[in-house]
Amino acid sequence: MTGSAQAPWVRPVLAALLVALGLGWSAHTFRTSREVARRLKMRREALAEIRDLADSMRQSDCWIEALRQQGSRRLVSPTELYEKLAPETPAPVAEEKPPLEPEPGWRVRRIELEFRDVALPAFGAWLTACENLRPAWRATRLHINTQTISAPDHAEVGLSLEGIEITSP
Amino acid sequence: MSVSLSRKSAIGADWTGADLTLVKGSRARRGVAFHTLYKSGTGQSEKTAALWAEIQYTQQKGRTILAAALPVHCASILTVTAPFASPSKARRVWPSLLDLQLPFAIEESVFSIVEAHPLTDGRTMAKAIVARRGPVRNLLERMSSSGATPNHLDFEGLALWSQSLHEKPNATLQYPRIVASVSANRVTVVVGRGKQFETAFSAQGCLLKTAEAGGMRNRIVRSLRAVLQPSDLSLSWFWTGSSLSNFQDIESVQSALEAELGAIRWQIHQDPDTFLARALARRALKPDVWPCSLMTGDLVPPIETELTAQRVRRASRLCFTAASLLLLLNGFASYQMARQDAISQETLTAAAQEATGASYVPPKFELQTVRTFAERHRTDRAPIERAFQPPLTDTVRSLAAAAEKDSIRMEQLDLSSEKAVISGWTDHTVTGAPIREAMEERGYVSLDAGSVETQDGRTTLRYTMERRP
Repeated sequence: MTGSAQAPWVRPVLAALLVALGLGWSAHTFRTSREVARRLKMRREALAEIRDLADSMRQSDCWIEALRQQGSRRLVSPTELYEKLAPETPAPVAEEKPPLEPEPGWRVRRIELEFRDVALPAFGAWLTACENLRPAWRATRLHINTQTISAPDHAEVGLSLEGIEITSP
Repeated sequence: MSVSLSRKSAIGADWTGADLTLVKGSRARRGVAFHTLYKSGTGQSEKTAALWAEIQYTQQKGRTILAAALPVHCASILTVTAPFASPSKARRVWPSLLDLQLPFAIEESVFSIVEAHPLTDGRTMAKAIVARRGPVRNLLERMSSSGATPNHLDFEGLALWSQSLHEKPNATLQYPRIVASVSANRVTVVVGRGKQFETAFSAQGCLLKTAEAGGMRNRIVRSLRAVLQPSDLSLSWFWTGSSLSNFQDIESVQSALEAELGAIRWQIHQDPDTFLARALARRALKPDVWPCSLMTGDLVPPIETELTAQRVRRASRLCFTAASLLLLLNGFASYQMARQDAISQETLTAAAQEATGASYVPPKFELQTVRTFAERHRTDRAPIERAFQPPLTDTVRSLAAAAEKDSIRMEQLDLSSEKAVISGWTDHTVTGAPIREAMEERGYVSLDAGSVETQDGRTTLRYTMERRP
């Protein structure tokens, strides 16, 4: 077989086919580029949100570190503290809820307290003392009602306390 | 295969008579600019040999066309009518219709349809120039033996007619126009009406020789009488031709023709020696109303075939290059897009894995996974977060101070880190603004405007608030 005897139409037909292939591929690339651009935009937006969420999650790591530095100490019972501070007044009704475990070796204790009739100055002093303990108790809910109690500066009080204990740092 | 006429210049070769005239026409801003290369010579000298060599060189380079004319006596002018109104359909039957009128087979001829127009009855009429291949080939071989290789063969009659109209477009359109080209050995006469070409014929002999002039005049008059109509009272006669400048006794010929044909308006085209050569060059360069190319099929010279092949090769090369570039660009673009796509996916997956601490995050679910994880994380660590926020007792103290400022007696307080409900009363008129402001400082926002009602000198207040993060 000799290579020189090439039909005159072979070259133009091949060229036309190649041009058609190039144009077809260009059209495909154009369509694909729009799809890829849309995907990239979506991923950029998702990445920005993920980074924001990661930053906000990282913030609580500082708090954990600060609490960890306080060491592993047990919470003092708030009712025992109340009996110590105001021995002549009736003790509140206390109900402890099951503890939570936000981190391994950490325990969040939650106590609901009901004071039927309490002198508000004494209650304020006791609550401040609770908050100043290390580890501290924090009030998460406070309900004060003076309408049901006739004595001045006395009230019916409902209180939710929450405290964090590190059992194994 | 016909010749494609798209060059920068064309050389018109008038070799219809005994002498040769060469005129070069070049494309100019307005029409065609002419330059006479050779005039009224035998075409056999050393000078012409060099000229032909130069012309052939420019032809081979594809820069010029050498256009020659087939003399009128070598061709027939035929009119054919196709029973179709569609020009494309009619085009298919012209050869068969011409074959019926020719005394020889159509395969032995060359033809060119110079004009086709639809008739009112739904048919199409065409005018064709037909010539036997033999005389055409002889003419081309005669020129070739002198070193000339034309790549365009026009019809003399049409070239004369269209050039006459081109140079004198508005002259006496209402009369029949006769263009008479006088050469040393014959007179070519072209007849038309208005702008319409009708016929052409030639009379052999020399009009300049008194002995032959009478006989020639009679032949011309007889041929014209066959074409002209009795209503044609006056004629426009245009003289031209390479031998016209040698014509001393033109007035006596004109007088004799007027005696036979009646009133005639006589005119002479400018520079008649190069008239046909100019016509050939112009028609080869610019599209004309009556295009005519009689160099078809095997008569196309090898130069033209080679030029066409060269053009095809050049176009193919260009297409190959363009297509290769296009494919290369597309390949690069596709690679870049795929790379960017993969990088962005990897970045997103890595960010999601880092945020959640998971070793695998399913693709397309990265954001959803991180959101779910962050929500759970936030709930789990809410007590830790609360431990670092100001205690509720601070809020109670601010509230008590604000109430005392307005002398408000607080009756009920329901307070958490998320919401607050406050109610109380006083004996005088107050706005309740200090309480609202104290709570707003702590991040609590009133869900309503707050209720402050005064009745019988006693003002009651109630606020429902929510803490915004």
